[in-house]
Amino acid sequence: MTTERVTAPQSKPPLWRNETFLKWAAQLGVFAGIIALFWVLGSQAATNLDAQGREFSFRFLSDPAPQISEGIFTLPENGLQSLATGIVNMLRVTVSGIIAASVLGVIVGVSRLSSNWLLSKSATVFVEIIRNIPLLVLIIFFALLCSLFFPELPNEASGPVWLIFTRNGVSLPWLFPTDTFWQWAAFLALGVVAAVYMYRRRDRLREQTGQNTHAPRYALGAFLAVAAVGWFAHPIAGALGWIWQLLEAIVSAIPVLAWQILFAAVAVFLAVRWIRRFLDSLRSPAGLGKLTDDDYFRIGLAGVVGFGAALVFLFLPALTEALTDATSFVFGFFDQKFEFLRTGSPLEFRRPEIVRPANFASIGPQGMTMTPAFFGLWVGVTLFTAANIGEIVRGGVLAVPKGQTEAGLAMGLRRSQLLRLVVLPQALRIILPPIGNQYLNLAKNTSLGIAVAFPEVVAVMTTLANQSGQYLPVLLIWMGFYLTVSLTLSSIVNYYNRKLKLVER
Amino acid sequence: MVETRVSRHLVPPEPPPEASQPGVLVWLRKNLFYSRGSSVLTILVGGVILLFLRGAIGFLLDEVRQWEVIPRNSANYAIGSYPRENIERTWISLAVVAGIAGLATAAWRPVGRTSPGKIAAAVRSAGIAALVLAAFAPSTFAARTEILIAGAVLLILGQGAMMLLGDRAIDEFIPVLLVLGTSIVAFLVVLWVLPIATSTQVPWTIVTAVGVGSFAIGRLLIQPMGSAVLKRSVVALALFALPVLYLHVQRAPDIPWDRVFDWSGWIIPIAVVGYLAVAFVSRATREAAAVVNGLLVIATIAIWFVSAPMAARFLLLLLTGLSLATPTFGSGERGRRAVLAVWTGVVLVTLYLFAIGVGTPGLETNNNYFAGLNLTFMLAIVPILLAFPLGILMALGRTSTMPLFRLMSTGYIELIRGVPLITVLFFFRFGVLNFLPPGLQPDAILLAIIGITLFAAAYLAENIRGGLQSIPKGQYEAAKAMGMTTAQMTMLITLPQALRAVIPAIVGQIISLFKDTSLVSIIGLADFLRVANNIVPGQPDSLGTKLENLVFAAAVYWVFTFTFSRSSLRLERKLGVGVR
Repeated sequence: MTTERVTAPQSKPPLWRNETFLKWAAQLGVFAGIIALFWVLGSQAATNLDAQGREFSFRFLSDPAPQISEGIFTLPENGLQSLATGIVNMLRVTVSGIIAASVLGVIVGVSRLSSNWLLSKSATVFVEIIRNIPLLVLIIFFALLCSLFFPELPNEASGPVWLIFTRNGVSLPWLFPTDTFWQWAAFLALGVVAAVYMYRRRDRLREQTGQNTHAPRYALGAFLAVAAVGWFAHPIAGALGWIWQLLEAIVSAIPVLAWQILFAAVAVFLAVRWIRRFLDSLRSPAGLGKLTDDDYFRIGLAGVVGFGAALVFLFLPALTEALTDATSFVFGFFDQKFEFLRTGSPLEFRRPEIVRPANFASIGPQGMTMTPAFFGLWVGVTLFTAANIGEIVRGGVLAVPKGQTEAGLAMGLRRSQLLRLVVLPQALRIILPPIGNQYLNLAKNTSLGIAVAFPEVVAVMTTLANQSGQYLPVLLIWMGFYLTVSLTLSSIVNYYNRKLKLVER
Repeated sequence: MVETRVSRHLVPPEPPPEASQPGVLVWLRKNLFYSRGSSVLTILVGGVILLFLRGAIGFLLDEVRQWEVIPRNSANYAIGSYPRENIERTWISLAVVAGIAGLATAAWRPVGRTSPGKIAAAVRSAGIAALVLAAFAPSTFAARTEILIAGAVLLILGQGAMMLLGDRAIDEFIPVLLVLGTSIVAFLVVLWVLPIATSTQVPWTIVTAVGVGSFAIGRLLIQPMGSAVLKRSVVALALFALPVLYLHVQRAPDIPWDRVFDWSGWIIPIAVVGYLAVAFVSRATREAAAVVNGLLVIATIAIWFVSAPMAARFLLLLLTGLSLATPTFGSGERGRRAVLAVWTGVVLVTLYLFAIGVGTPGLETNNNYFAGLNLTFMLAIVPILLAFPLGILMALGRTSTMPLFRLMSTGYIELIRGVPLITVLFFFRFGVLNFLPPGLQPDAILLAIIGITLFAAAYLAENIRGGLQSIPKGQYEAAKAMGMTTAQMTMLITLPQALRAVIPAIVGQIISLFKDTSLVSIIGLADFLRVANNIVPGQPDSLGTKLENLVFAAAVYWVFTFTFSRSSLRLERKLGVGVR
């Protein structure tokens, strides 16, 4: 159906009544005001730094850095290594905290819904106590509890034990990756692929035959089989090292200028493709309609961003150089991890050990050790997040209509089947986005480790900032790091969200 | 730290039978031992809870714990190192707050009711809890006897009240106000009978009297003034009292009057011109009003480039804002009078606030005026009030049809929400000073307030955006069809509904902001947590009491947060908000 545009002969309104003009004037005015504010602040900062004989720089990343109490580099050679230590420590707390908080949170949420009075009330009391105390107080409290009130390390004991639970820290037996772990990890990745393939196949079979084909079990079996084969066959996967070597050689063989041109071309290509797809999405059978201001703005912005990025790549060789250096560093890292026919068990089981280097006992480097600071931070964020997750799980299960439960029972499902097949899949759709938010909060809350002197990103970089006086570069590093973590986590959550989304008819 | 709050009822973990149940055994079988699995679960969970309680109570009541440091340092927790010779200023502030609270209680009149049976059951549960505690806590004989006696008394009181009341215990209701009054009387009796706070008996009594007195005055005023006017006055009074209490009463500024008089060359012309301009704009045609407003906008920008006092710059900014709103809201005889009255008020209040703002503190102290709980509350209240307008602007920007505004708001919100609060605080504590002229070095508290405000604004904006998006499209269309301008539609139709819809989310935000104020202790401000965690345990007579102080701090935070979340739930139910 086509409609003909009817245009009445109208006089153009004067400028001060032209809505488009007024809107853009207001927007550009405010934008200019903000730019001016930043410009004033920036020039003031430049004056201040000139007066003090300093300048903004990231040089603290290559300057010597102070000692760190725990982590991969306890005696870092430069700021970059201490940043890496902080990042790894932060990720340790985040990942272990997310796992522990999810398990505990689901237990708490389900307990609150239990028909057992004692269990549901205990879960309620737990949630109410934890949620209403500031996280910082919890963290300081548990770190203090560990460092002052746990039992003392027995001074006469030494040698390997099964568990250390003392005020020096907590240490557990653990499986540690060895030199050959990455070779086995290649097989694990292959196992995941095999599991996905097997799942899809069995699922198709189920759809064809209408019978239960136990797709999850087959998938798990495929994964375990590949992992088991890999456990013994991993020296062969060491051949992957040659591929990494080749990639590294390719990256360093191509001159920087070629990379610059390539990156610029990719940026321009992406921008053009985005604009074209955007225009396609607006096109109707009747042709391209009239574009609104907003559409023009989006197209313009995409163009500016794309071409701006291309210009940056072309005129700032240092950026491209840094990118290629980082890439070849990563390739080199993996190259070291793979060696054809390198043998040895991929994992090693180690027990904690009490050592006596001097006259007093301390926890040895064996075992998975948590210092009091790590313990306090980990317990604090875990309990706090678990209380919130518990509430989300409870809300999600309660939000499933009662008719669903009744219908399931009427069909003769058992309680466990009802929960697994009817209630949880529907509740999951509701609880997943807020739980993703909780994971994000947990990642950000690890920054409170600074209060108990746990060396994570904020604590480590604060030391460097105090030492060098470079607060703005440090803030930029924080922003870059936390935004990367946020975006990564939220894109994972969004992916699952899309997968679980109700298919609307 | 965003969290979702779902309504729930809290009951202590001990299993007291409820009044309406026919018997203890029936209740137990129905709720704890209804199947084999549940019996096992009950015994397991009960055992774990008993072991945990025994350990925790034994740990907390251990003889080496020095709980006596808590009452000894109560003034430190409340106000930190505020000079003790000027402590009456704190009491005056508290009395003002109590007065406003009394007026607010009269204006909003909490109508909740509770049954006497519930109260008696609560007393009885407390008694049972004390008995369980006495039986299981590994403490000294004397302490155990005291707890035992207290528990028995409570149990007998609760059970006796229920038996005396009989069926009336469940059927009849007591208004919440009566409960409140009884607790105030009980508070005063405890204060004067028990020798725990002898030095503060008189001031606490006066503060309570002011609260009760203002409640009575409020009840008297509600008839002649009308409920709506009284409510609006109380809000205005509270908003005005806040800066006056913090900047004037507690800080006791020495106002440099000669400097304030120097401003008059700017202030008086702006005040007169403003009056005339607003009076003109409210009458003039659209074109003429636009010309006047355009001139005002140019003047507002221009005044930042000449050497004018900051007060004049702000006054001109406020004048421009008011004048821009006048054609929309100030036409008609009543609107004109209101706008002119607002302008007069704005001039006087701005002048007063700037005068006390430039005054140097008049008290002899090491520059720590605000500390302890006082600072904690200040850091929770002031940033929220400042962040509110900013958050609304950001939310409107993010939902706007104007792309550049949307881009800026989205960028700001996502950037701030992506980083932890502590990094923002660190930057504002140490980094911002690099960007300011050497003469302008704001103190740490002001910088922390700015940091928290900017942080809270991003989160509030997201909450408000949720409300704006929940408004049906028909509302926008109806407003447009009525011939409303965009400003009128936003101020009168969409924003009020949006704000009302997101009250629960905003309350949750305020609660988590109150908890997050504890982060300023990391950057060295003497807030309540820092006083409890570092300052008090560092005193020579309180060494080694970190654990006691932390438990106390957790308890205080818990009481405030829990009370706040409970009363907000009641408020939400009463207003019926969040339900559309």
